[in-house]
Amino acid sequence: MLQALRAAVARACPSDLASQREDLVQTSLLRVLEREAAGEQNKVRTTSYLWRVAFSVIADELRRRRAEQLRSRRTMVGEQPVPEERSPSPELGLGIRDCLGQLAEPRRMAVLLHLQGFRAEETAEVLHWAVKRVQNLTYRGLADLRECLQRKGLSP
Amino acid sequence: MTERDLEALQAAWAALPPNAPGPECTPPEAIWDAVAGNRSEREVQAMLAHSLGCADCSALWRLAHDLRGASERSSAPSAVIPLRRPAPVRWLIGAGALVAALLALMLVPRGGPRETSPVVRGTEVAVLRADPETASVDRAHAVLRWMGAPEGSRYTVVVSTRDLTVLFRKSGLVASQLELPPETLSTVPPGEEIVWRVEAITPGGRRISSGAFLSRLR
Repeated sequence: MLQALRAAVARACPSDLASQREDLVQTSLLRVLEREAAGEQNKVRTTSYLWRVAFSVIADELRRRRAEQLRSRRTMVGEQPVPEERSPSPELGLGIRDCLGQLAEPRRMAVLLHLQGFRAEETAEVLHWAVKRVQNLTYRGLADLRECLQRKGLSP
Repeated sequence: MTERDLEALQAAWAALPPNAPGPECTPPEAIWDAVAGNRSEREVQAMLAHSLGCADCSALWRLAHDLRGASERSSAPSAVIPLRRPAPVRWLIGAGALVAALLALMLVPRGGPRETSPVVRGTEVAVLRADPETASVDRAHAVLRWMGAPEGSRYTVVVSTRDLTVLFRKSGLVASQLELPPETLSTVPPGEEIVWRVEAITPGGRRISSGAFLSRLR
């Protein structure tokens, strides 16, 4: 069990949490044990459940850190805004968000998952749709997105 | 749209500035279940609608997707195992086992002093238990005690709050007790419980993990 949790945490842990990796493994283990004690022992020992727990622990830690960082950034008086590390322009990201909001719901979901890195088969599994439908909606949705971005003067 | 354009869009989408996660954010387990195909279309629709305006949840969707792929790869069998080995291989294995058994019979000393007390090894027989007195501990002098591991074991103890924020962790303990530095508990309100867990490594090298123990702070 510990091995599966270690593997999951090692895979999911971003570099800035690397020093906390073992603590996150232990926290995951505690959470599994608590759920086992709460009567969920039928499912807690499966590998996929252990990965789910590890993901949840890391996600909680990332959210806690993010909230803390944003809070401290706001409370520091006179501090210059910290530039984002990534290079893509924020205008393009915000433009994508705005354009996605204008798409019809099914196209929006298909394109959003596509932008998140989901393959058509994976999107089909998430949304319980046929793969062909996903492919069609993604294709049309991406065309709509490109058109919308062009209207805004944005391009990838 | 070219592959390069798509990559640029994905990068721009992933680079949206983070927002502070709020109470309306989707719980991580729900995102994981959705990625695994275990949520209804309507639920996924609501989660995606939220993630559209929430870079934090959006990042968790990507992490869940990445991790789920890795989990499937890790649990997939690495090779096809034949149902039956070819006959000559079976014959060789049988002959090898016979030779090993004969050698063992010749080499194992007979008679002489034997250990009178059995050595407890492995998780099958040893169960770690908390000392009942630790159900309630003094916050100024909080000592956690446990029992059940073979003599000579080394211990790792992790202490957390009820919401599983780790407060203290200590490895390499030789005694089956741990005194917590008082400052460790400064953030825990009086009357609250702490959760702690022990992992023992026996002299034989086996790991024994305890359940989660609870101690109320006085």
